[in-house]
Amino acid sequence: MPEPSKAPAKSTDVANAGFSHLATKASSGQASKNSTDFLVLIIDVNPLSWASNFSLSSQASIASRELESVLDAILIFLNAHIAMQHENGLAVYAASLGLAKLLFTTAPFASKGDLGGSSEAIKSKPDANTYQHFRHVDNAVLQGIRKMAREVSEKDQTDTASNQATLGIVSAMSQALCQLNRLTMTDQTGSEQSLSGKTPGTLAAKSSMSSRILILSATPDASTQYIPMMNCIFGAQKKGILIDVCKMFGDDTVFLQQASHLTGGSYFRLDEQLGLLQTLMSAYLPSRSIRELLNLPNQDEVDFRAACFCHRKIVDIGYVCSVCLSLFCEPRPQCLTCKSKYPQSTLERFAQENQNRIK
Amino acid sequence: MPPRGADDDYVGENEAIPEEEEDFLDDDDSGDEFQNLTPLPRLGRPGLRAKASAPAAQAKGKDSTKPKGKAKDAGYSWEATYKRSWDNVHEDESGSLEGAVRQMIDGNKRKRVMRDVAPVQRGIIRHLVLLIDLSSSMLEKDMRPNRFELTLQYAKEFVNEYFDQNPIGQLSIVGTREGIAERIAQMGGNTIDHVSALSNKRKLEPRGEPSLQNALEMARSSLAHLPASNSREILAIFGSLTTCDPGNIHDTIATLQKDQIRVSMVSLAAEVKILKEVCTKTGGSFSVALNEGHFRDCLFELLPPPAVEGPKRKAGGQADGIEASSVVQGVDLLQMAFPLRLPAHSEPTLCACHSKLKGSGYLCPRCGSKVCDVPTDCPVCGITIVMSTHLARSYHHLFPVSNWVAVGWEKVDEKSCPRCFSCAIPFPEKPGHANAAMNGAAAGKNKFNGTATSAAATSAAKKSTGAAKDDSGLAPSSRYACLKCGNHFCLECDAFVHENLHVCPGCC
Repeated sequence: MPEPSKAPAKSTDVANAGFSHLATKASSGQASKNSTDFLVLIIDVNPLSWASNFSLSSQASIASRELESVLDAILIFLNAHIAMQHENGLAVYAASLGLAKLLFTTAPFASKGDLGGSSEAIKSKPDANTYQHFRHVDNAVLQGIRKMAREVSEKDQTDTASNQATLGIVSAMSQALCQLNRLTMTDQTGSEQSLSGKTPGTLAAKSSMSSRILILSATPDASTQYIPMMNCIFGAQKKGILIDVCKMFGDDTVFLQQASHLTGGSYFRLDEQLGLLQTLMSAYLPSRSIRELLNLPNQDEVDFRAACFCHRKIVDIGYVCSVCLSLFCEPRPQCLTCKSKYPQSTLERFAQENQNRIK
Repeated sequence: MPPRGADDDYVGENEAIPEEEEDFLDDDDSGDEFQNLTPLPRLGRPGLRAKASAPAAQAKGKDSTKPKGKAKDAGYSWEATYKRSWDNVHEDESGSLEGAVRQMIDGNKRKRVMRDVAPVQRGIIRHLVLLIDLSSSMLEKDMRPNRFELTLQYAKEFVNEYFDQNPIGQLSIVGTREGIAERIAQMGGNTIDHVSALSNKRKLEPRGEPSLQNALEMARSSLAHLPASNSREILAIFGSLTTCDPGNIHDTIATLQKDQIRVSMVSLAAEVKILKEVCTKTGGSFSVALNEGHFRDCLFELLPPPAVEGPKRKAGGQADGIEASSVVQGVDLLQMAFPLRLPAHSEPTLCACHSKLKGSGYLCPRCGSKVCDVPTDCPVCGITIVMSTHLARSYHHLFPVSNWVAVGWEKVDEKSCPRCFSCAIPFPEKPGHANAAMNGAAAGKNKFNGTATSAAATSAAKKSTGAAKDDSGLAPSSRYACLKCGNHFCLECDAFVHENLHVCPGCC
């Protein structure tokens, strides 16, 4: 950080207005712990879903204008997050069709050379009216997304059919988890060195970093992503990382609902585009330490029901292959996934049970 | 054999056993098969105790020496030629050992990552009995603070980790002391129950002689009735060199074999012949813990579900390793129920498992009874109740991330990314490699992890001359590449992805 003091900037004057009491509460309550908050923001900039959402109402140019207004809101939110506490960390990923990119990170180990490509621009033209740190973030995110949009459209022209199905969200999530893992590791060794004299040093070191991932989602679920997504969720769960989800538009995604439910984050579906900034500031800005005092939006009912592999029917009582754990809604002689054959005796037993039930 | 003088103590202990025998039978509600067993010897006959192979027992002895030279698979370690372990450590140019030490640590990390990823059928639905020796030999202090404390601590960690990796598996804990076996925790899927059972140190206080046969029989009784599609395992932590058995342990081994129960053991003292024989005959693994860290490694090696033995193995060469032609043992269709979750603020009702009044819970879809925790078997209708997430948690055993290969310097060029794909840490610069091939031979075995230029050049030269991979599997360029997506990752991410995440960030 270039300056130790929190210089108020134009954009965050407004943004932080209602939150000063929260920030002071956080710093006074957790001062002894010195908990830093590391936020990973994943922005879904999948052009297909953005276009399809806004093409219904009007032309395609609306979509890009919408994206810009959303980005404005996001930048205000990011600046507010940095301004909340001096030690707060931040990483921003953009996820698009089949690729995910790191746009900005404050992680000390990461090479910042070619992330946004914006460092030269800043050096050449320091702006007296903006806090340098905010400028770094803004430039990196905006230019990163611009660059990415260009890449995606180029890629679309060269090979159209290849990467259509895969989404970048899971890739971004896994990259974010890797970075958080690395960060907690360096954090622990760093604080162990500094706290080597004190006995509860290791405990404090472990709890000092609280990290969360906020996903701004726009794209519906892709069923091929189920297993990687679940693995990411369990990885986050094990590491104690929250996953917050803000669904900007479109239908609810069941996977992300499960993600936020399993990791203890909050899921919110935005009804009104204009409410994005307010939602971000009021629901997702407060750090983890004061979250427990707030009544955050949460989904009441998470769909954990299982769907069978054969007809995609929701089942109460299913038949599971012991080899590959595929789920079927009715007994069948052979597994659809792994082709293993089931013994005749079990099939007969199930048939008999079913007959009994019908009687 | 241990000195005969020690037998006098054992006689006294054995006489005390018949009194306790009745208690033990009453306590045990599921182990009916115990009644059929020949009763414990009424006379003070030491039975089949002291099966320890002679050299091992002598090494351990009854005196207070605590030998660290534990037996290895091939012969005994003191029979092997002397290994000059310090020769492996080299100073770098500045005379510091840091690089060498770091490389050893990294090498260990990499070793753990390099797991067998060949697609084999795994017994995902595991039933495991954790068998803990609670004999007086567990009070030895050759491991700090002592064997007993350390075992309990690791056992707790093991239980947590076991349920994390095997969410639809079940576990029971059996202890053995004073010649009998005791059930510490019932077969079940609840982590909290098991950990609290292990936390009660006063109840588990070690004393007397262990009985391997009794413990194995008790473990067998809780596994034998399970269907064939479940994998049945016993994991024993054994500190004693002797065992006090009521009958012929070879009969027990035979029945274990017949019931297809796999016994694995970690011995804390020495390689004991009968212990090893139990393991080899039942297809399990046997290891002797060298020190605290190795003990932990030995235990945690057994966490991932075991590969299923038999004809499946041979089919491993095929694309997915699964034969379609014949019905193979262990393949079965299971009925599972996906419960309805009751929210925490719903009206409290009695649960079927503990008869407690509770708001939250899960409703069995077949019989409608309420249980506190899933996964479990419904106490009323017996169906397995799981959540879809429990199944999802097991998928990574079935579709593991392929191993990443170490990247040599010659494969690094301008096009390759200068930083780790996932955590964005910069990789070390590629050294000027014009003279790499020339001065390679001089530095000998001195391999550094790409930090020092000359050392890296050495490794690069090694690679080019055909010694493609060094033993540790470390990359000279500290890059590891996924073969599918071709992205480069750092060692930390390699370890994290393969151990925790199970998703390649580049491929998904």
